[in-house]
Parts: sequence; structure tokens; C-alpha cells
Amino acid sequence: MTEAPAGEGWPTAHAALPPLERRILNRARVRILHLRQEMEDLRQAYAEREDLPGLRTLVEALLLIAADCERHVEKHARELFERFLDGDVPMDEALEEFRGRIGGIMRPIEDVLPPLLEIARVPHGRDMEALVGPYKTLLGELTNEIGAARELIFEPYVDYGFQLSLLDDLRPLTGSLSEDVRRALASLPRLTIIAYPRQLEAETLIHGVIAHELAHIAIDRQVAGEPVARLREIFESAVEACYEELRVEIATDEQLDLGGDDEQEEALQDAIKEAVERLRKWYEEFVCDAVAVYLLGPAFLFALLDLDVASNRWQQLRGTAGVESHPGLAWRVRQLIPHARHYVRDHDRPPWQALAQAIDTIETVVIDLEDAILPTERHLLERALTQLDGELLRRVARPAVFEPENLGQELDLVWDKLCQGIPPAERVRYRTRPDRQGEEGTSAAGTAAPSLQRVLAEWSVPMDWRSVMNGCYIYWTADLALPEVVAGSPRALPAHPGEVDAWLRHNAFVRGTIELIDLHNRLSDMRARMDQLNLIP
Amino acid sequence: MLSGPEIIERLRDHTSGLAITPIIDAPEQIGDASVDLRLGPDFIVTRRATGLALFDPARVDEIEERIRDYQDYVRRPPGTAFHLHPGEFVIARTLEFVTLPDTLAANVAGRSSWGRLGLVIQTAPLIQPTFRGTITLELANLGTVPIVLYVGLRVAQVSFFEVRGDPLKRHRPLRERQSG
Repeated sequence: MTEAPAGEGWPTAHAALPPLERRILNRARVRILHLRQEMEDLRQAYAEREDLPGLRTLVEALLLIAADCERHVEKHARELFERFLDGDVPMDEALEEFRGRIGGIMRPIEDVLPPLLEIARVPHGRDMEALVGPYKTLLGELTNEIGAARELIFEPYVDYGFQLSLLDDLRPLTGSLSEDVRRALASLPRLTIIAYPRQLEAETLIHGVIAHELAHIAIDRQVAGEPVARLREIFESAVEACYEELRVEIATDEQLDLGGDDEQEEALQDAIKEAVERLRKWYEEFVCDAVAVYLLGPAFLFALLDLDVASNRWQQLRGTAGVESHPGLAWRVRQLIPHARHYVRDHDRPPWQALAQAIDTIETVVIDLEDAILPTERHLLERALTQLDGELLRRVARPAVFEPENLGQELDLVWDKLCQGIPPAERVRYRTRPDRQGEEGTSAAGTAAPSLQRVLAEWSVPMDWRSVMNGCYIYWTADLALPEVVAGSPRALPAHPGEVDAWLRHNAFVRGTIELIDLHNRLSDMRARMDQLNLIP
Repeated sequence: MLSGPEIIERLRDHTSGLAITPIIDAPEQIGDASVDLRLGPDFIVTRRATGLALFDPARVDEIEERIRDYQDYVRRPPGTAFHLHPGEFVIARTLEFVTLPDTLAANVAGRSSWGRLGLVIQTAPLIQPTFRGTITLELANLGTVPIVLYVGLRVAQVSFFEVRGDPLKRHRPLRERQSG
């Protein structure tokens, strides 16, 4: 049993804190205990989940933090007691300092950790598994961190989004952590958390939208240096050029007097600032859309459209609460069409015709849809957007850009395999189909047949997964993934009767194909080791 | 039975209807009359039943539901180990996706080196013409010591046979049977 401090002094035996501080200490310790217990449970639950390296890293980090916070809380309690006994500080001062220190530990925990705990608790579903490897590679290339330990977490959430790194999120906490724990956290793999809509888990083609989030990451990290500075410069010069016009228009719209009193002028300045900030956000969204096309190809355009089209987000009404962060879908799609056309080739072969037709169809739909914003706002943004040439955007995406030539080489192969129901996971060299003259890897007429040894040694290379995303999306838009309808059969809806099932089946097929490509890449990298294992017994 | 060169010829001719994809190490995988198949990353582990469950064909409706009560899905990345203990039974699948034309059937068998350790790979080895998909493997350790398997190991082999005459059934169009 402990004694409470009596009078002005501490108890001489069985020391205890005063009731309030004791309560503070206990509540803090219990909260930290909950955190530790939950992390221990998760650590056990994920022990065998080698497919979740990101979450395992996160759990380890949270365990380190919890243990360190517990040590700090207990240390402060001991110090309080010792300092008072040493006569360093009066009791009131010591108690106040104690309350401040414990609060300084607990407040960041309560602010910072809940969202991370949510992420740690809910692993991505099985259907996202196929995309982890490809997007991790793309992210590594884009952020120039090839070879650096970086874990990607796909977080089931309500919408697409991203968070960059564990350390960034934990910054408010780091002041209260021990140096050795900070070092340990810094040595953990860096985390990138990509959120996706939980209900769209199985729609692999829609997850092409993640390319937009990767573009945000590239720009946020300014890894591209000069191109990103140039992007910003373009917007600022458009603001400068349109400023007076914008000022007049906003004053009229907000019913404020130009040259009015200080109050009016201040309100006008605030309104202009707000409008410019919104337009700056929209500009960045446009830029990320366009960069995403150069990361993924036209499949990004199709995915963006399919993501938002059902919720009828064509228009962006100025001042609409809660939806101001992104411009309207119609405008976004219109901006993307010229970039997507960079991938079109003037071929008469079916996939190329289907690609051109898919883009044309979208253009005819969105061309007349308008966004209800002020004319100068539109003028300002369009002035900036017209200067976004493809070359500048490709420079932002350069380390990971999906070149039109890549699609040019692989789309026909993807298409042929899709027509036969074969996953287009690899490019088999030295194919013997006679109707492709001069195509890479085929034996064109007139060339000497390769030896059997060479055929085997150079058998195949994995297809670029982005060619698969594009090829499969184009195949879908051409209605070729739909089952045949029996003539004269009744329809419950004015639509293809099997379209919903076919979409889900097609997405599963895409997912399986991308998974095969990823396995091919990874096992090729570890071929020497696997050969050794195959010698046993 | 198709010889190795005949298999190669048909795999290269992508109008043949025969595909095995991906073949990561063709010189090692394609043999004189067969192609080695690798262990894929997905496993369905059957836990030991602790209740009164039994699989009775006379109550066929209950079988699928009850099987799921005693099965766990496990996924392992390439190159990582999967331990199969004595008496344990696991459903796995090949890494490779296989398609057959209506003129070919196939036979899947374990590689003999694994068989000598007590590993049974496949209990339903015949694959019908027009099959497309990954091949299900039924792995059982009949030995007395645990066996460590690695995702990506060559554990099975497939050989091919010509099917003579017309197919018995009219098959559905290919694109209806696509799966991932």
C-alpha cells in the first residue's frame, strides 16, 4: 500500500504521486499497454504473412514507439521523485513539469497513431496482391530509389490517395523518442501507403488510377527537379497574366467594390487568394492526370473515366463544398485525350483501330460538357494547361515513363493472346506465325531459322504489365471480352446481359496475367538460387 | 505422346492452341517428352478437424461448405519456403497457366526426385482437351520427415497426347472460359 504525499513534502516511505499525477501516470501506462498488446497481436497475426512486408514494418515501428513511450513515461515519474528529493525543484513545479512531460508524450500518440493503427489493422485483400510488385517497381523507378528498401502498403479505404512515409507521419512524435529508437525507425524500410476504394478491390483495371497517385508522389518529392520547377513556373505566370481580370471578375461575383474600403479590399484579397489556391490544386491534379498517362498509357484515361462516370461527376460547380479538390471529370478527360493520343498508331490492325476508336468515343461524349466556373478561372487554367507539352510531362515521369514504343511493340502480341484466351504474360521469341514480317522475335520469311539451342536459351521475356493493362482495357472497350448473345434471347435490361459478370471475369484475367508477369520477373532474378534448390535431392 | 521438339514447335506457334506461360527457364524446363511445372504461390491448407465433420458423398451439398470450414488460404512470395509436415495435405497450383487445344490431352505427374522423399504431387493427373488455367496440385507428405518446398520449384511435369477423332462435346467459345 502506498501513501499520498503529506503537506508540502513527499512521503519518506512507500513514495506515491499525488492523486491527479497518479491518475495521469496510470492512464498513460494503460493506454500504452493497449497499444503494445494490439501490436503484439498483429505481429503474431502477420508472422506468416510474407506477402505483407509493409504492414509488418509498420507494426514493428509501432511496437518500438510504444515501448519507448512506456520507458519515457516511467522515467519521468522516477525523475520527478528524485529531483524533489534532491531538493532541485519545489514540489508544485516538479508536478507541473511532470504533467507537461506526460502530456507531451501522450498527445502526439493520440494524434498521430490512430490513422496508422487503422492501416496496420486492415491488410489489403487478396485481389490487390497482384499489383503490389508492379506498382512497387514503378514507384521505385519514379522516386529514383531502385534498390533502396521501400515497402508499399495498399490500404483499403474509401477513395484513392497516398501517404509518403512512416517517418514523415511520425515527425510530431520524434521529439519525444529516444535517439536509439529514432535510429531504429530510420533504418526500417520506408513506407508508401496507397489507399484505394475498398469496394473496388476486384476491379484491377480501375486501379490504373493509382498512376495518378504516383504522379503526386513524384511531384511532392521534387525528384524530377527542374521539370517540377517549370510546372510551377507555368502556373505562376498564368496567375500573373490573368490577375487583374480575375480580380475584377471575382469582385463582381462576390459583390465587392473594386477600390472599396480596407474591409472590402481585404475580403476581395481573401476571395482571390482562395480562388488561386483552388486553381493551383486543380492545376496539380491536371498535371498528375497527364503524368499518369505517361506512366501507364491510355489505360489511365479509361480507368479515370470508369472510376467516376457512374457518380455523374462531369461538372465541377464553383464553390461546391467538399468536392473542390479536383476539377470536374469532363474537363479532366478532355485534357487527357491529346496525351492519350500519343499512344495511337496509324495501323489497320484491330487493336490499333480499337484504341483509336475508344478514345474517339470518349471525345464525342465529353466535348460538350462544361464546367460551371468563372470564365477567367477557366481562362487562367487553360492558359497554363496549353503550355503543358508532352515533353515536359514526360520529363516528370521519365524514370518510369511508359513509352508509346513499348505499347507499339507489345499491343499486337497482347491482343493475339487475348483473342485465344491465353494470358499475355510473356513475349515468346522466335514465334513461327508466318504472317508477321519483320516483327521482333518472329522468324520473318527469308531469315535463317535459329538453332533449337538458341530458341530455348532465349525463350521469352516477361511482357510489360502496362502493355497488359492497356491491351486488356482496349480489348474490353471493343466488346470482345463479352460472351456471345444467343440471337433472340430475352433481355431484362437494355444492355448486354452478361456485361457485369464479364467485366469481373475480365478483371480477374488481367489480375492473373499481371501476377504471372511479376512471378516471371522475380523468379528470373533468383534463377541461380532456384536451380540449386531444384538439384535437391 | 509429343516429343520435346514437337512441344517446342507447338509452343512457338501461337495459333496451335497449346500454351504454357510463363516458361521461365526453357532449357531446364522442357525435356525430351515433357515440360516441368513450378509450384505456384497459393496454398489451401486443410486443418485437422476437431469437430464431428466428415465428408460424406451422400450429403454432397454439405461437402463444399464443410471443406471450407477446415481450409485456410496461404500465400507465399516466390523463393520462400512452405513446410509440409508428415501426413499433411495441401492444395496448391502450378505457377504456369496452361491451355490445350481440342486435339491434345495432357498428363501431370510429380517429378520422381520428390516422390522418393514421400511427396505426392497429383492425384488426378489427366487433363482434358480445351483445358485452360493453372493446374491444381494435391500435395501430400507420405514420408516421415517434414519437406520444405519453395515457391517456384519445379515439382511436377506435364506430357501431351494427341486425341484422335472428333471431340465428344461441343465446347463453348474460348473467351467464355477466361479466368485469372
